[in-house]
Formats: sequence, structure tokens, C-alpha cells
Amino acid sequence: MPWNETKPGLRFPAWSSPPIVVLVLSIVVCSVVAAGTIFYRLGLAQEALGGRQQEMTLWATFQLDRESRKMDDALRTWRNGDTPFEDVTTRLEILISRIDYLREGDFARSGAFRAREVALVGEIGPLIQQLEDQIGTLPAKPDRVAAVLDARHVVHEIEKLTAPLLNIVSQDGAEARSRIRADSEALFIALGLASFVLVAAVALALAAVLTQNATINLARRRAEAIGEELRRTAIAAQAASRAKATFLATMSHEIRTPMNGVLGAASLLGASQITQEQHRHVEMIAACGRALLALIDDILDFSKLEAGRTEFAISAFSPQDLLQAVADICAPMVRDRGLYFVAVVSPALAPELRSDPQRLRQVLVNLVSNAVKFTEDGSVLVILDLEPGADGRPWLHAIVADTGVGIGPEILGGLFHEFEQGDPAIGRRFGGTGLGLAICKRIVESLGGRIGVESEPGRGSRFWFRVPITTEHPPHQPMPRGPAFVQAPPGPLAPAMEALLRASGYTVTDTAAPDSLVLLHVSQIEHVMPRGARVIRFGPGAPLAPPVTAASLTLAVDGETTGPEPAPPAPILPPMRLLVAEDNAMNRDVMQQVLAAMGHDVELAADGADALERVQNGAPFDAVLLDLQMPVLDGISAARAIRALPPPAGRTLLLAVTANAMPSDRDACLAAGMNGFLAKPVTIARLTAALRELMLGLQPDEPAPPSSATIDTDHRQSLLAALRPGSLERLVMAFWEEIGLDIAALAPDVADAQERDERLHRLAGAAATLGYAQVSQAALAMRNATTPDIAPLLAALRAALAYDAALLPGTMRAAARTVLD
Amino acid sequence: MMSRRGLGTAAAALLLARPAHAALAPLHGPVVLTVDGKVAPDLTAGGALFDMQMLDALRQGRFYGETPWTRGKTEFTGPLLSAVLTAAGAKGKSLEMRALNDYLVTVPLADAFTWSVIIATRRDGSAMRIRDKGPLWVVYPMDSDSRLRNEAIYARCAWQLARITVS
Repeated sequence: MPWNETKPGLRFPAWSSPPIVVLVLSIVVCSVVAAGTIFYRLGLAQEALGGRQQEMTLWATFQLDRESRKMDDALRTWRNGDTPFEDVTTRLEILISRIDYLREGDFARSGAFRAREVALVGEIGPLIQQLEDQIGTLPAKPDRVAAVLDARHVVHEIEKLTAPLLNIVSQDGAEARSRIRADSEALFIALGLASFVLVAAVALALAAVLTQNATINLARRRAEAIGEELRRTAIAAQAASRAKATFLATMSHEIRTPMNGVLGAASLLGASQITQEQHRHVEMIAACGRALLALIDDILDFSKLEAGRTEFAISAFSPQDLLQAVADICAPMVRDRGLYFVAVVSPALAPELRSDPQRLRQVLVNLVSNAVKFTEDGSVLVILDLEPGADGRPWLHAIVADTGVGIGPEILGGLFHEFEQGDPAIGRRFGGTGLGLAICKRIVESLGGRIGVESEPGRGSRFWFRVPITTEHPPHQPMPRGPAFVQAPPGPLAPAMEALLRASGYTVTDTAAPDSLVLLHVSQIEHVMPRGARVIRFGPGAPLAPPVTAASLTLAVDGETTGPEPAPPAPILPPMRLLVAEDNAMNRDVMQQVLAAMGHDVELAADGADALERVQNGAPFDAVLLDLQMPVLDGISAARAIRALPPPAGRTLLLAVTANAMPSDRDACLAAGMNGFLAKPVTIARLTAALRELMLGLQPDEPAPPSSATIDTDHRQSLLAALRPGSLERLVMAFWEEIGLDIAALAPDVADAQERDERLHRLAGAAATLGYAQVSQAALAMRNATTPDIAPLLAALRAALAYDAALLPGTMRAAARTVLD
Repeated sequence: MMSRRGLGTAAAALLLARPAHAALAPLHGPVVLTVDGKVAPDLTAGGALFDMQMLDALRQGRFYGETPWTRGKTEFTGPLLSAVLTAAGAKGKSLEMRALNDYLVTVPLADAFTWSVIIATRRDGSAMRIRDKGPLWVVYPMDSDSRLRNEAIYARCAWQLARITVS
């Protein structure tokens, strides 16, 4: 099921975005509308200030009316002689100020006065003027009463106008007020509506934001949950991958140990007197065993690469040497199949490059082996060329092309995946683990490069890889060597030979010239070649035989034919004169027999002092094998003493041999001046390897981890092969007889630490020599115990002994049981 | 920090502590303004009486701007209300301003010491007749402060001012 169906929260629901836009838009629209409404209404309210004007008008009109009455009163009281005339003039002045105010004020302009008010005020004006005139002449009038009557008459005329004016203004004011009230109500309603709309819009927006927030939070939480899940899955996957790698490494190791036994036994069996038929069977066993070991090596290699534990050693190397080494390794199989093999290094490549030559060789050998395996007839070409990368830095471009069966597109894609082969049937037919290309891919990618293949069924394959390289030297331009011409069947062979010629300094031409070097394939009829041209035949069985490299081309041209190369001699250890210093008589016996079987001349010493004496005074030894724990003088002290001797005795090679394979022991040995370190049990193979390393001055190998089997059958087989018939039985019998004393002395209440240690040492050494791995380990564990309570360890040792005793043949088993009881 | 009004009140208290009224000159013309009520106790029962000459002798203020009752910019000049009150030895919280037409308005005394309120005696340089809303017209500096541009302040701008009663 697609994950977006199961996890809808990760994507925003389709509806969530448009409503947000709509909401925002609606809020904007609502705000504009509301603001517009409010401003419009405020404009009306501003107009309603006309209401204030109405009030002022009413007030002013009222004042006018009132002042008219006061005017009348003032005239009347003055006539009665109660007040001075100033009162009359003051009242007149005030009256004038009132009518002026009504006339000058903005009442008409502001609309507070309508036509009838303006008309009335216009009528009052002349009357007041008339009144002022009469009052002005009043004091001079002889008939004060009549004059006042006249003036009052005018005042009454004025009052007849001010009273209706007041009425009209009052009415207008009432109308205006009710209009304003209505306006206000409408304004309030509009404001209320606008506010409601705004609040609603804001609430909606808030709701939308909250919804969106919730959606985002939900999505984030889901994403976090998925992230957490992915992280856990990744951790689990890594753990699984690590477990797989560890399992592979362990299994490989566990398979390799008995496989070595099988191979060793097969080689011993092959060397014995057996029939031809039996020889064939032994060969089969050995071949299968080697195939199995190769498979295990591949698995181990792959699991190391997979786990990222492979270390890459970048060093300087010559591409010419690299390709020569590949050619040398692949030469036998190329010859076996009658193929032609050309290896070309482009002159564009510098003579010295930096990368990991071992790993590059591994990849090249793998690709070439594949090419050879899948090519029945034709040629295999390897070309190393320079290719500038995108950043201008140099890359090594390697091509392995063949004229083999080719690969169909349906399997081309999975070719570099582990455990996949071109065709399951091919795996059965040609063998191989299917890991080779996967290993190549990991190596190339670990080196920062890429690997690929182009192929079509029936048209051969072309594997290539590119890895970045560094180089400090400019490329060597080859010395110019004249024209050359290649005559070969159609296919990649001719271009490859031409490339090789160019790389060697020749100028390749389309036709042969009199001074040309002509390379003529064995399949080609010797055409009429120009007189003087040098013709060299190439191909299987020809003078220029595969593998063809720059070196072999030069050799062929310079007159020497390259015959079939002799197989490289197997590295054999020359007979040596050896001294074995070992306190345990039985171990001494085994060592002597094994080394003698290997063709060496062996002398024996019972302790370190004895060994020192022999090195000092006897004939010189090639090497001394020193057991570490010996009475009188232990191995370490003996080594120091030997090193203190004058040469040549002081320079004798020293090999430490011990069952106590702790790293600290190893360091102590090297510090004492020993040259090598061999962990027990001692097998022919390991002894040979240790001695070879000792002679070649190589670094001693890592001590082998103790085997987990109770009896090291591999070792037993080696012993059986090396010892005289009947010796092993005798040694085993002696072992079981001797340990009675040791076991008895090991009881916690009996032995002191010193004695127990010595007995355990002897027991561990003897057991390891005879292949009693578990007994040896139990004894060592007891020796190395840090706790004072050794009872459980002793019990373990006895259990191991009892287990092994049960495996003994009848009579011996009875004897061993007696010892243990 | 003291408010502006508070400052004015404090200043008023300080000024009123001086017997400034003692300098009131004798009358030379008709009385145009009477300040009575809580005024200096040594004054006659009728309160502090001012003729035009006396008002002209007090510290003058000026207003030039627009008012709701005039068209265009108008200049008013006359004694500061604070100067008049100080001269009368006024002591109280509010002023009852009465006009010739019996218009009555109550004004906080602090106004006089918060803003430069004047009792205008001249409009555009000329004395005002009663018919021109004179001879005295209370004018607030309403163009200098937006707080002074409202109905309540307009109502305090009594024209034809005749009497101030301090209480």
C-alpha cells in the first residue's frame, strides 16, 4: 500500500489551503466595508453637529426674544423714573448684539436657518434700527410717556416676530434632534453590524489558524514518529547487518579450521602409497576443499568490506607492474583455455600512481578471471588508461573486455549484487560464489570510484571501473619506435594490439610499409607484406604468446621468443640445523619427529641453560625454538643470554614456542630479542610458516585463537602423518599416565602456587601437543585465574579430561579412568 | 510629576499670598468689571471694581486665531484673567462669570492659571461696544490646545462680561 494512503497526515489535506485564502480575503473585505461604513456614518455624525448649531440657534433666538422683553421692561422702568437712561441704552446694545449675532453668525450658511427664519430675522433688523433711532432721540423728547409708548410699540412689533421665530427654531430643533436620534440609531446599528462582522471574521481567521496549527502539529508529530520509527529500523538494520557480518566471519573461521584439516589430511593421503583411483579421489577432495576455502575467503572478504572493517593501504605503485602482476597471475588459466590475453598500459598514465595496488590487483584479477571463465574462444583485453575527472583530477580507467558469451540485459542490472550470477546454471557450470563482482564493487566504491559493465549476449562483455588516483610525476612519453601494422581477425584484438603498440612508442598505420613492424595473428594468412617489413606472429602458440604485455612485446621484438613460462617453483624451506629447547620430554619427542619429517637436522635441549650452552659452544644453528617456561633457565632469559653472546652465535634466529598465547607474552618475547612467536599446538603447516617467516625476516603472525573443539583433529592428523607408526598411541598413553601426579598435586589444599603453576604449564603444553585443545585451555584458564578460588576451574579441567578419556580406545580408557579417579 | 493644572493651582496659591490687591488704583472711569465673593477682605463690600484704565494697567495677554463666533482670524487683547484675579486677591475654587444679558457660567478658578485666559478689552485693536459683544469678552487660547476646542470651553468664553464672583 502506498504510504501516503496510510499516513494522510503527512500531506496537507486538500481543503485546508483555499479556506485560509478565502478567510483572509473575507477579513480584508469585511474590514474595508466596516471601516467604510464607520467613516460614512461618522460623516453623518459630523453633519449632526448641525444639531449643536440648532441648539445654538435656539439659544440665540431665545436670547433675542428675552432681550426684547427686557428692552420693554427697561423702557417702562425708565419712563417711571426708576432707572437711569444708561440702562435703556445698555439693553438696546445687548439687543443689537443679539440680532447681529443671528445675522452675522453662520446660522443661515450652516443650514440651521431655513428661508422663513432668514426672512423673519430680515424683518426684525429694520425694526431694531427703527428702535435705536427712536431711543437715540428719547431723552430729548418733551413727552417722555408718548415717546416711550412709541418705542415700546416698536419693541412689541419686534416681539411679534421673535416669538414665532422662537417657535419655528424650536420646531426645527425638535425635528433635527429626532433626525439625529434616528441617524445615531442607524449609526449604532451599522457600527454594531460592522463590529460583529469584524469579530466574526477575526474569530473565523483565528479558528482557521488554530486548525492549521493543529494540522501542522499533527503532521509534525507524525513525521517525528515516522522519523523515530525509521531511526529504530535503521539501528535494527545496522545491528542485523553487524550480526550478519560477525556471523559470517565466525562461521568462515569455524569452517576454515576443519577445512584446513581436511586439506592437510588430503595432502598427507596424497603423498602416501595409494592406488591411481584413490589418487583421483584424493585430488577431488583437495579440489573441493580449495573451492570451499576460496568461497570462505570471498565471504570473509565481503563481510569485512560490508562491515567497513577493511583497511585500505594507499601507496605508490607502477601501473605497468600492477598489470604485469595481473597477467602473471592469470597466465595459467589463460593458457589453459587457449585464449589470447593483451594487457595495455596507456602512455598517458604516469609511471607512478598512488592508490591501493593490492585492492586494484584484486579487482583486476577478479574481472580477468571472470572474463576468462566466460570466454570459450577469443581474447581477453585489459587496458589501463588515464581519464581526467570532472574536477580535472586524474582517474584511473580500467577496462577488461572479452569476446565471451556476453550477458543479457535482464541480468545485467543485478550483476554487482551479492550472491547473484549471470545465470544460476552458469554458477553450476563454471563455479564461483557470485561474490566476486560484489566484492569488486565494494572495493572500487570504497576507493571513491565506480564500476560498470556493458554487454550483449554473444558479443562479449566490457567491464570497466574508474578510481581517483594521485600522481606526482608527469607521464613518460615512450621512445619513438617507427611504424607498425596489425593484421588480426575482426574484434577487439586488433585495436588492443594497436593500443599496446602506441603505448610502446610505435606509430600505427593503416597499411604496412617497408620498414613497418607487422603483428600478424596466427589465424591470418600471411599476406604479401612489403619487402623489409618485420613480421611477428601473435596468438596462442605463436612467438608473441599470451599474456601480451609491454614487456613481452619488447622481448619478442628484440629477438627473443617467449616460450611457455616455467611454473614458479613452490616455496620450499631449505633443510636447516635447528635446536629445540623444551622441558617436556614428550613435546620434545613430537617436535623432533615433526621437524625431521620436514627434512631438518634437529638437536634437543631439556632447558634454557642447556640450550644456551649448545648455542655458545656447538656448531652454529640456523634457528633455536625456545619453549618459554623451562626449569633452570626459562625461554625469555635464555633468549637474552643468547643475544648477549658475540656473533655469530648472538645473532642466531630465535623462535618462541608456547601454549600461553597471551599478547603480553608475545611482547615480552620480542622485547627479549626473539625473532618470532609460535603458539601451540604446533602443526607442520604452522611450523613451516613460522620458520619461513623467521628466515625471510617477516613479521610474526597473529597467534591463532584456541580451538573450541575438545580435540584438535587437524593437529592430530598432522601428528599422525609426521610421527612414526605407533608413536602417537605411545605418547597419548604416556600423557594419561603422567597426568595422574599432576592432577593429584593440583588439589587446592595440597599445592603451593609455584608448584601448581609449573604443573599446569606442563599439563597445558602436553595437552596442546597431543591436540587435547579443551584440556589445554582449561589448564591455561586455571593458570591465568585471578581469583584464589580455583575449585570450579579444576572441576572444568577434570571434566575436559574425563570427556577426552571417554574417547580413548578400550584398554587405554580404563587406564585413564583409574588416573582420574 | 505635577499636572499642569496642579502647577497652576500651586502658582495661584503662591501669587495670592501676596497682597497684590493693595496696588488697586482708584477709579477713573465707569466700572466695567466687578470681582466679588471670596476676594481680599479689606476691599469694600462691593468687591474689586475695575475700570478700563485699571484693566489696561494689568499684565496683558493676546489671542490671535479663529473662534466659533468670528469669521477669519481675529485678534483679542486684554488683561490676563490670572492678573485680574490676583489684583482682586481672589481666593477660591470656582468663578461665576456673569454677562450683561445675565448669561451665567461657572469656571474652575484653576483655568486662569492653567492657560493664558484673557479678559479681552480690544478686538483687532479696537474697543468693543456692547453690541459688538463687548466691552469685555473672556477668551481662552483655543488655538493652542486641542483640549480647549469643545463646547464646554466655548461656553466659558462669556462675552459682555460684567462680574466675576469667586467662591
